[in-house]
Amino acid sequence: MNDPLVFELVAISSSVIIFQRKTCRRFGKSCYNRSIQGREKILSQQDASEIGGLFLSVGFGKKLDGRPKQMPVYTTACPRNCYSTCAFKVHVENGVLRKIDPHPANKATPEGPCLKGLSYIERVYSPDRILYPLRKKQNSADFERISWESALNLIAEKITGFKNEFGPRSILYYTGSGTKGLLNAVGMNFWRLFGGCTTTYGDLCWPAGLEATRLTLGENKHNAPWDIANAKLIILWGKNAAETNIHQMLYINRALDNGAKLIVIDPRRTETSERAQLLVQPRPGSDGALALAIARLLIQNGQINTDFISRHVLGFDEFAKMAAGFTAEKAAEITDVPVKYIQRLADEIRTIRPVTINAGFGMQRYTNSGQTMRAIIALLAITGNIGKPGAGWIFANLQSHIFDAVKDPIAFYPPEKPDGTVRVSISTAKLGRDMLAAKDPPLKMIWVERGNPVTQNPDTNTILRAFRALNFCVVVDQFLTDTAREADLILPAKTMFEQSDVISAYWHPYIQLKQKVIEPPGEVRPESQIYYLLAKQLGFTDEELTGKIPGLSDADAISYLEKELKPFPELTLDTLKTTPILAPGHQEIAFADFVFPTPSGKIELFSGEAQKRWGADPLPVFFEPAESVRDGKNTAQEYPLYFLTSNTKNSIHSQFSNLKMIRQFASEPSLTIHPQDAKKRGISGKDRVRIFNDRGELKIKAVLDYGIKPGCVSLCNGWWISRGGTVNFCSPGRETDMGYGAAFHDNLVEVERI
Amino acid sequence: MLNNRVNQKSFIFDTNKCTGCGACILACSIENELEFGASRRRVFTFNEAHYPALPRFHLSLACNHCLDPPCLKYCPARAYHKDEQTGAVILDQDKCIGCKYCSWACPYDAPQFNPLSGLMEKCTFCEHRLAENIEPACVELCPTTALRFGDYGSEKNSTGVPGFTKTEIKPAIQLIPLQENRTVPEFSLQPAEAIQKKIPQSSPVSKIRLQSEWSLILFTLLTAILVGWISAAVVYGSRIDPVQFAGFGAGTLLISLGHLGKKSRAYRTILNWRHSWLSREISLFPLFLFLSAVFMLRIAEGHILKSFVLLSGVVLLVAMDKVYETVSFSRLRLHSAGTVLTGFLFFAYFAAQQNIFISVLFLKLVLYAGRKFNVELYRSKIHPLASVTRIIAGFFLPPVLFHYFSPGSAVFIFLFITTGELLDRCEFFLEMNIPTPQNQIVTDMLND
Repeated sequence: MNDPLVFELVAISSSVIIFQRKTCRRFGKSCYNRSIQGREKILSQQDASEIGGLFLSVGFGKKLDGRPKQMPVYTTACPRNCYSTCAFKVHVENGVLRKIDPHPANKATPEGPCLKGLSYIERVYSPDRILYPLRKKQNSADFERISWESALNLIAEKITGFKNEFGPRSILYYTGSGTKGLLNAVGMNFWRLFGGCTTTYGDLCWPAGLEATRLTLGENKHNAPWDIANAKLIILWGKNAAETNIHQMLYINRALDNGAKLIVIDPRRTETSERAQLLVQPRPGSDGALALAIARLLIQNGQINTDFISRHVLGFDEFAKMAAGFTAEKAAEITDVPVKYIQRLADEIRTIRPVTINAGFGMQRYTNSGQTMRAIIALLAITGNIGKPGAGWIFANLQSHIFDAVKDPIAFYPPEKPDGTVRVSISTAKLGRDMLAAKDPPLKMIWVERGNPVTQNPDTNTILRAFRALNFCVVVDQFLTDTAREADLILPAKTMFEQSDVISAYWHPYIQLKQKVIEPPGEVRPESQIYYLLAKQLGFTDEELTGKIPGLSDADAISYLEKELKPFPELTLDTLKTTPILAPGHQEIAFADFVFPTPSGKIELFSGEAQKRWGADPLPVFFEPAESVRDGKNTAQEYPLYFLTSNTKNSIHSQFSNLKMIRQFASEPSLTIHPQDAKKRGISGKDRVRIFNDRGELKIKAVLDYGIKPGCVSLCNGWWISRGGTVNFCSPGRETDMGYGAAFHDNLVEVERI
Repeated sequence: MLNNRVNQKSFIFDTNKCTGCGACILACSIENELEFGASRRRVFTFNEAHYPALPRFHLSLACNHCLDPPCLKYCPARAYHKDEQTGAVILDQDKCIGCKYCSWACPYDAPQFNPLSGLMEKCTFCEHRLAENIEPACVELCPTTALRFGDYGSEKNSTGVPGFTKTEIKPAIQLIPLQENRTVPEFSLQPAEAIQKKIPQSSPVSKIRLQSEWSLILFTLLTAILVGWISAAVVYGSRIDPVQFAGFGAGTLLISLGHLGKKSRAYRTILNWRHSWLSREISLFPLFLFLSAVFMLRIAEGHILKSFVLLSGVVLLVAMDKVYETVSFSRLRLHSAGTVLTGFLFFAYFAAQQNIFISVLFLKLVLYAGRKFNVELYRSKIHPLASVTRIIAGFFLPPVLFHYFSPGSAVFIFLFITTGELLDRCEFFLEMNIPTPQNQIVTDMLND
């Protein structure tokens, strides 16, 4: 062979080696960067000396061989706005959270927290966590670190200025449901001491259902979570327990193993409906008609519990007369559920005992939903499925809310007689509009705590306008949320591990303690300390703060809690440090005594109070919600799709979705759309789409799904605008028919390919 | 491989109870102090798009700690062992060379490459917890008790589950299939005829990426060239320059190193010559170079030496093809990108034997076409541009140039056939049918 060829070959091979090295280096480096970025950043961002050099000494990411023998283990409980409110154990090593274990003493959550609970291991140490007071730079969207001293000076100067010029009620004190705890009350104690403020009424989450239940049964309580294992027919009506209340699945599975039937009613085919025997997919907002048609079938065929009705039910005859108008045929037309399946539902409820109906929260976020919920409760009332094991209405169990002087939903309502100090005038559901409309005095400042109203309250665009019309905005948060981005001053918020507090729950009946197990990192201060320092800055004396705002030490916070626990001798912090405790007076089978604290003492299918308080029909009548494709209004023609903005396992509203641990399951928002609807619009899977109506728009990618009811599209709520956009650009600032809830789901949109 | 004394433990997974929440993934991540977002356990979903005719369920898989684990069997560095107390298949991080061969051998994709350490990592059954009599973290933290831990064979209801590859390697996992009352719910909305059909959202994807396997593709191709080159010298006495050959050989060896995550442990590659074709391949390569050097430097002569040179070259190439045949679960035995055939082609080229050259090319063309026309059988994918280039550059131009053979065209012939072979080899890598849970789900959805 001739030499030139061989030289050529050698040249090729050596250039290949060079190329190979280059690619190795490139891929190697980028992989390296990706993987260590997080942890290195923690070290560089946080002054190691200030947090006791925790990370350096522990060496996060080290192999297991050097594992210390016994880490201290603490009992705690997750304080998020979530059904499960899990108890768990946390291992702390040299002041750093290391591991999480289940806490079997909470019978409702014996197997441990969900993925979000586990992700606290990252959340507490996230490099994105806010660790210092931050002030927005002038004419910029960026923030700069300032000292607590300057931050407190600035706030004191601002709030005193607004108070002097416009009165204290020019300041809006806004709190969300970000974290539970008795110490949350300290905030309002401060503002009262300050001289007053403006605040909100109503609630984003669940008032229509609470009010419907209160009007009908007299009280919001239900059987203990584990009792559902005794049910023979379980109807999850608009609830996706597998994602939003995973611990309930333990007991639903147990019921199924014992031969129970599971029916899911939901426009979506969900993780929960996967294990059901029947999935009924009604048109959103039409559930009331479905319930009334089932009631009519039961009544007409004499398949009701007349003995129970005569003893415990008020207004049955009127109800029966009203329901008689809802033939299966008529309901089928309204609900899109075929007659056959309406009959099937009635048959199952008639033939199977006991029946538990568990309604989710989404279904009661329509403008007709208080009545819808009342109609569904009626099904249990007329069949006698209340007050018995395995039977009943599961919506909210407030039996552990023993510390509340006034229980929800009454606590949400504006006071009948204003006290002259705190103005309760802003509807949570209409936050943006009411903020802009406030007069005498107009709003000059907002203080946001435990909440992220920019993405989580309806009508984001109006809220943004209202925020930007203010003079000063303080946000207390752990992360730079979309609301925090609107702030002039951000104060770093504690996590659940950095201050002790006592929490209740709304699904299970336990009182639990979330213990302080680590020192707050950086310059984080619990809110109670922020208020204490601010009060001192304003010149209040310790005597004036006594009993209202605890001091700076852990002992001060503990004695505040002990004061709250005092009326309940069975609840001591020492016991709570090792185990959750069932709320005193807890009824395992709710209403087993058939005591219904309604005006009549009976289950009220006919509610005079509904009429008096809400101007509603005393009977649970059905009417179309404000936005409906069936009412022939222009809206429906322009915007023919129901926008379902459900919750997901991957977040609690807007919390957790910023963490790497969680982002591996969902990295960006995507719109679930039925292929039929997609085809009509020329959309194929993974196309980017624009979702819009008169209120706003967002642009995300589409995912085709054969399980969703055609005519509905769905995107879970909680996404940050900075990560793709909140669903609330499109939702209306509108109240539910009862309870001052937010009718998020009266939300018609159109979708187009972009 | 299975020691009867092994008290085999296993994960027990109940498809009825898993909601796909992912807590097990995070539990693993936290317990083993992995990077946030990394885990040795993964959850796979059957029927992501909710096709009405199919159930939807999840499979949470880590390592199945097989009774006859191919990772252990084929690991060239003998870095794996099976724990006698629990049956756990354990990878010794101090012995691993990061060659990723175990990840190819595992149909469940359990061993994962960590680019940071250059080593493979996998589930250990949380052996440190088992030692303290605590269940693995993923089991302890499953909120629905879908994931449990127990003796292998203890679960009566365990059978196969769609999406879980059936193999001969005896995976020690007990999978509880969906019970009759928990499969597909009855729907109140009857889906239109058109959407009764089942179309998986994604087509099967090879877990082999060309970006990360460049060194292997080049190493195997260059080795075939080396064997062809020396064989031509041995059989036909073609001229060969020992220095150039040695340089080329050393380069090839260096390229092979590029594939190892832990290059300093390269010597371990040959330790498992009894079971691993990879060890055999790597052991034969220096032997082949040595014999070639002896031949070229005329240290010894004669037919016996020549035979040994040829034999070592051919066996080296056979071993190389075996490496891929063993792990790919593929039906491809003789195929156009096999290194034996490639070696033969270059032999004919270097020996300037036109008839042999054209015959080999023709055989390769037939095999290549056969592979491409039997997409279904070989699961091959069509890359039109690559195929056209491969055929023109690799099959048609070289014979034409050979016909008008001149010293100047030799370089071009070489470049053309090298291009053709390189493309074929790349396509072969992409088509290697290494099962993964994702691909098994796609297959089973189509066949369900």
